[in-house]
Amino acid sequence: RNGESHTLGHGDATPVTGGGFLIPYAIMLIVEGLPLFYLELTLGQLMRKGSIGAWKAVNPYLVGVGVGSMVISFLVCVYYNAIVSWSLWYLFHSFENPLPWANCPANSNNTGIVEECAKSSATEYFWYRETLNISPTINDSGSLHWGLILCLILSWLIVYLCIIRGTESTGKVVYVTACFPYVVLIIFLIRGVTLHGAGNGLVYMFTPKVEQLMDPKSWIDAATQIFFSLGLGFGSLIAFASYNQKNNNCEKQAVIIALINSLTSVFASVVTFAIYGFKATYNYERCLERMRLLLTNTFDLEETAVNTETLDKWMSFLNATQSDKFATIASQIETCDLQSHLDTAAEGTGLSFIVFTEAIVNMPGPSQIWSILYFLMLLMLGIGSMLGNTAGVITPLSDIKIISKYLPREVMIGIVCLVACLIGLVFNIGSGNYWFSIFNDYAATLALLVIVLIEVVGICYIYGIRRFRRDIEKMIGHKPNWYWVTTWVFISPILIICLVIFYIVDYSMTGTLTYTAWDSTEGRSVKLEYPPHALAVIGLLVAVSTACVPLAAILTFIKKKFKREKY
Amino acid sequence: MSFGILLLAFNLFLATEWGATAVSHFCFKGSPYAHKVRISLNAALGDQAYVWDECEQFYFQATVAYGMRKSMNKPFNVSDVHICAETKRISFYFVVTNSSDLSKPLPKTAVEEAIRMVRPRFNNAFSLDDRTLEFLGIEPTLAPHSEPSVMVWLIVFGVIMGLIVVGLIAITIIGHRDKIKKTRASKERDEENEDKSLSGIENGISCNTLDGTEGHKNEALYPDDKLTQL
Repeated sequence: RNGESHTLGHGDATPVTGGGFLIPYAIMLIVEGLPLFYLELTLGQLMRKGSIGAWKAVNPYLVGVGVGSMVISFLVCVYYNAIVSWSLWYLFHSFENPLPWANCPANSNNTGIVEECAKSSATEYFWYRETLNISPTINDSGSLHWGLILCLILSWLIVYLCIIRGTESTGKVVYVTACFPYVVLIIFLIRGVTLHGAGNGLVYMFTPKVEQLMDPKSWIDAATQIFFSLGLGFGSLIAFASYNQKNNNCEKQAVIIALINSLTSVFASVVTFAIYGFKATYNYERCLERMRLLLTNTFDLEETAVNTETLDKWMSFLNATQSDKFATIASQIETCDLQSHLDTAAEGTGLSFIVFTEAIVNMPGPSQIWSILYFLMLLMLGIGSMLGNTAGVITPLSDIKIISKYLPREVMIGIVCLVACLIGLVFNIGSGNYWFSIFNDYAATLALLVIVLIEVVGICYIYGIRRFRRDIEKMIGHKPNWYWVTTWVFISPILIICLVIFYIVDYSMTGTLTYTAWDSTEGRSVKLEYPPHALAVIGLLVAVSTACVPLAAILTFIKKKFKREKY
Repeated sequence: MSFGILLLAFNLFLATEWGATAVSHFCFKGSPYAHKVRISLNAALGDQAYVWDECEQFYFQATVAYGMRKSMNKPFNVSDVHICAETKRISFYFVVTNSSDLSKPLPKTAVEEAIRMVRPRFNNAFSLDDRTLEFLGIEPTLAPHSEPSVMVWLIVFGVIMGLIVVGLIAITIIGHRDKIKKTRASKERDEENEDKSLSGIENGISCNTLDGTEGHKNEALYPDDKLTQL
């Protein structure tokens, strides 16, 4: 049962917004995550229906909340399986010796290495060119990547296989997809903390940064991280809880699952930061070595004259004494800084592929084994999340009587998977990764906040908190205490309203929205502005789920008026 | 006769001096005929690094001469290889002259060809590799790209895809079989119920309404739409 919720969330999106995230994360968990988690579980167990049916039972005007959750779940289904297909692609390539991202390939006449790879790095080249075959801007469509399409089809087949028999089989699958990542995490923890430089990463993770605590963006990130990893607002929690026994103690269950989930996230972050620390230290030391070699070779100094401690002194000495010669290499001088290497740890799903593959390549021992373990773990986490997301779509669909009467369950699931797979093909063209980023950043962030806000307000003020407490007492035997009630009625709604306001203010202050594109001629990322049609898609993504709530309310009103007029 | 000997000695003296100045004409930093060599003994051998002295330099010259002999099939000698501009880095420039004519240095391309030809032997001679024994301007040719790695990942993909498809087919078949069994079992139960229904009637009420094994949802406990109206 724990596995369902843990992998319901997006366990792969470990919070790497820099060190010191622990404080906002813990506070958001206690004030928002736990209460809302309990709320959704209780709702599902009470109404024993998927999100649409459950919200219909709460109040027929609120059925739009259920529909909105279902839409968000569907959008996430469409784009999240791209991550699973990337994990499969990397997993299959991990069987090669040497690993294809370990070295740059030679160019066509074997005189040197491919230029794009020389300017960036082997892991970046493998990600941007061989995996994504990315185009320079979002306007250039590029061509289809057949290898990834095969992986996408395979990932949808795996998901279909796991959910086709319903929750009984899904439950068993989730045991595997939930336990295996723990095993791998423990292995990586042991390997990670023994790596040279891991300590730097851990220190970085646990030192709080005051500027970051003041920045509201990090609180928003912590909140959305909690939402995602607990699976709030997707409807999947309601779906899973609807299969519970009537008097199952969902309070205890909610607390246990949420805590285990968060502890797992922290555990995963410890492992991640240990490995980032190793990678950052490795890059830092390589930078120092490069500078040392540059000085030694340009000024023909004795080989052992310059070492890492005396590097700065030598640089200033040489600049002072032979400044014209120094000027010739001035463009190649880099300042090596460990902090900056740690700061650019990871943003975005793609970068975590790049960073981890680079760390794996440099880890002592057989790289294939580490790589296979890591991508198997990503695969399990991804499949687990997909199971939750698809449950959030299928359970409410199967509650709608029209569909369940005419379509057998397997066929309905098949149609959902097929449609999502076809839409997901968009992410396999040249500009696919840019569209993926759009979905990743906008499909389930603002809309999720709004939907959860309406959920809390709906239960507390429209259904009535007193009635809710009595229902809970009937189910588990005692009323929820003051902590739950205060967080439901006051703290969570206010907090979410604040977050929504910050989000909108942040957007309106920065003006246009930008995305990071890959410049293959320079071998680095550049920031570009979204063209109007991309902005339209963003608006559509946010609107299509939030608009469900008022639209459904209006529809219900019209239906009732129509029925009343009939009589 | 002594004058002759004096003249001969003077000529020889001039010749070597002339040769030396001639060479320094060609062998200097930035010369179009000179290649720069950089040796990183510390990086290659660490504690076991040998000292770069005159003997090692002689060895170097001999190896270059060997390379020139192999490449051009002409009798080059150690004295044809001239080294200049040595630094503490262990880097220097070298020029190769034609054995017959000291004033004619060989063009760079000829030397490059020779070095490329014997590069592996050259590296081995000094226990160094391409990275630690650098000839600036002569890039080592890369090993040819190892071939079809496309095959490996397709094989793994094929295996996993095959397993999944087999699993799907198995589940469909099992599901179909279960359905047939269920319809058969429920048909039999219907027949049994028909017999029972005759015996179980009392007061006109059939007992079979309570016979089902699945629970029935008691509608009263779950208030319907119409009752939740405000």
